[in-house]
Amino acid sequence: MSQEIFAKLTNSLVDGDPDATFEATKEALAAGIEPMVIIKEGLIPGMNIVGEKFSSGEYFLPDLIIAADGMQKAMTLLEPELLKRQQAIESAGTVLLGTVKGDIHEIGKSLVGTMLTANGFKVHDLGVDVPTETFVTKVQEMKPDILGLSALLTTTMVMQREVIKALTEAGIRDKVKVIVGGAPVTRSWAEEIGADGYAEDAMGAVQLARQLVGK
Amino acid sequence: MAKDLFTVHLQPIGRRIQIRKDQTILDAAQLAGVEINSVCGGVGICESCRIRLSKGTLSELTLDEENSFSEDEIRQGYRLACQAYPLSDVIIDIPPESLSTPQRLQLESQQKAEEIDPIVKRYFIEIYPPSIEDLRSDLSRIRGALTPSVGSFEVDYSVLQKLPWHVRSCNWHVQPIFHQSKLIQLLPATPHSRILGLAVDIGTTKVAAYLVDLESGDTIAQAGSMNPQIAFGEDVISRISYLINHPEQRKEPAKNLLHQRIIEGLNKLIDKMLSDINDPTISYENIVDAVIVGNTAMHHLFAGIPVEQLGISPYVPAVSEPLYIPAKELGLSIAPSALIYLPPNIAGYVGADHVAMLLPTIYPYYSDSSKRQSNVMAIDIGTNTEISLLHHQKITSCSCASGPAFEGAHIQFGMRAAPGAIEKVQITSEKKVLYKTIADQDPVGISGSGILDAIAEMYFADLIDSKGMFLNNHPNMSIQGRNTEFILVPAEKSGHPQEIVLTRRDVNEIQLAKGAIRAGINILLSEAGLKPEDLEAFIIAGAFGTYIDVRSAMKIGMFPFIPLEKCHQVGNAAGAGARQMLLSKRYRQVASELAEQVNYIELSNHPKFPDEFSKSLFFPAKELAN
Repeated sequence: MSQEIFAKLTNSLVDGDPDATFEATKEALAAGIEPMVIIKEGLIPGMNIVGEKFSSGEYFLPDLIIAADGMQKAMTLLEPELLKRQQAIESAGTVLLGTVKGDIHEIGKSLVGTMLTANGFKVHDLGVDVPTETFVTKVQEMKPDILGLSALLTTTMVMQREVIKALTEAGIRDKVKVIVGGAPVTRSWAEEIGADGYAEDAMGAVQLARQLVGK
Repeated sequence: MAKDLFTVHLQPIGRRIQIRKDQTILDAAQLAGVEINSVCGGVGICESCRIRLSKGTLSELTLDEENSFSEDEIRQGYRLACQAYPLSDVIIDIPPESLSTPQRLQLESQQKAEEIDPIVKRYFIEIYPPSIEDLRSDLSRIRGALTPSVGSFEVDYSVLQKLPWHVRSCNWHVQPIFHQSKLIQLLPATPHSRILGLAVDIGTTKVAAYLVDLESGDTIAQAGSMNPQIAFGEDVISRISYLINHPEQRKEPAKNLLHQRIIEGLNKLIDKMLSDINDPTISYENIVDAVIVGNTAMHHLFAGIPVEQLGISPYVPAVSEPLYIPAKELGLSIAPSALIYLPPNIAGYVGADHVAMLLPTIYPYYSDSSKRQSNVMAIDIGTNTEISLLHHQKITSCSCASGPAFEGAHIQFGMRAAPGAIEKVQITSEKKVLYKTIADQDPVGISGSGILDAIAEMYFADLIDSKGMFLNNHPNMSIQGRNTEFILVPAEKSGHPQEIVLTRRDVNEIQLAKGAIRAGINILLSEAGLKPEDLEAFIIAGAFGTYIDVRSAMKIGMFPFIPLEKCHQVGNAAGAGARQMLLSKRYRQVASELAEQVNYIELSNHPKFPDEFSKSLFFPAKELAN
């Protein structure tokens, strides 16, 4: 029975049918399956298949976006249940994420967040248009392993440099690994501004995060 | 090991090609079927193949090149295509003057204006020359002759600068020309003389200009060109970045290179139109009014207003109200005291061009009491796609970041609508691929409308599935992971020694672009509580929108399925709106009224956007097409 539901969850993500993912998650909860198990046995395997197909060139960005949408829909049902049970999602590391000040692009950053979540990271998403000072105080407060900075415009990517500068000035630059991404961002830009890593896409971000936390 | 093959991106055509390091940029252009002028045959003496390096590294300057360019040009990256070899992947800008075949520009919509009441008026007067009994000044004489019809009026200083010459050279028969109650020009009162207005639509990519007879309403000349600012970036954001990264250009916004280039570009178009008219009685002095429309960034750059704030959220314009700027302030070659009218902007990404576009599209429904309850949607597709919805007599607008894919960028064989571009594709029931190119030349690439057709046809011929995955059931199909592609034109039939293919990656680009547009349409409809079938009219404006097959756009889900008789492809509506404002001052008020009452929805952080966008990425069920 539960195997069937897990297969439904996995396939709905791979087939790109977010509504089916949502329904299957409901069904799984109704059948009394623990939310943590639903994530581990149903959702993560699905996201992993999508990720592999993306890396091999079979899937493209639309497939990834739609799978992430399904995953997010499922999490809206699962997160309250996890809270009720006071269960935290087991974590491969914590990542603080946000789009820099002056930039309100959401999708790329959220996609990275979902892929990291699906791969066992605990993700705090600060949203978009995040002031530089907020990144600094949140790093001080939450002590994440990784800080991810997204910028989608050539006019706003300069803010990634500002955040790194502000971390240095606050004396906490060595306390967190900073990774940068977004359409105009390149590896050489990441090096120029002294980031710890750059990834071209959401799957690359997962690998990078794994490397940086040494797992 | 050094790389032997480099990719050359040719902008603004949007073609890219791989060449060896011993091949020149001119070779690259020729291989790609892009016709760059090369009068001397590539030996570096005619200087007709000027290009500009936008990104990457080229071989060192040759002596010929050092002689061909000023220091300033060399700093800006100017080179001769026949002398430069790539040392890395490069992006090359080809200035319009170096292209030997013009790209197809959109200059239609010549319909005659129905309402003629321009803000500029002229009078014919004959004044008595001064004599020993009548010592009044020249101006007092003119005032005296005009008092019965005009009353008191202001005189522009520049008119005074030539006043005594003018009245004497035409033997005291003059035509004073007024902008409302200001005397802005004095022309000789020759019979049949005409007064003209200039209407311009400054697009991010293309510029269209018209000269209109202000009394008959006829468009007597028109001209188009690429926007010369393209050398500083393909889209608005990269041009703003250019200014942010070049502080020396920011010291005086009215003198920055982008501003200068667009003024120079417009002056060239004016010259061209005047020489096409070829009438000795008409000179730039006869152009006594102008309406210029463009998106907010084009508007600010034209007016010499800083644009940096438009590159950063919340994207606020410096000014959104309508402006009148004297032509002499901007150096535009029309009558120096003519007042250039810039209609109001709506928001950072919805500019005066969209306001102009609303006049011939939405406004007829808005103003007609019998159509008061109409639901009408108007869409202008470009790098930014603006959409407006009329519902309950209110207009809601949004802007979608659809990207440059429809202009041919990021598409392997994509190109703008120029000769040799495939613009129509059909796949027969025997799965034979048919196509038509612009100017019926040998195919060299695919235009935006051709790409839409190709994807729709491939989807309905079961060559791709609803997710955009390529299916292995055609001899032209090659499925190899990231390099999956479908051959549209075999090498032996194409205009260059390569086959023309559509790749999985190309389809992906279009999915993202059309997904953004459809998400915008869906959000406007759902905010109004409407369904696509509630629309009385669906109006498609703009260059790309004119040439597309609307059914193809529906088949891939870019537009909802709407009966074709409700869809109207209207051409350059922004240009048509600019001409309406030129010919009728009432339309200027209407523009202000519309801009004032438009409710603008920001999509990039709209709560429904991620969901609507992801829903719009795949292709819709085929049954819907019936």
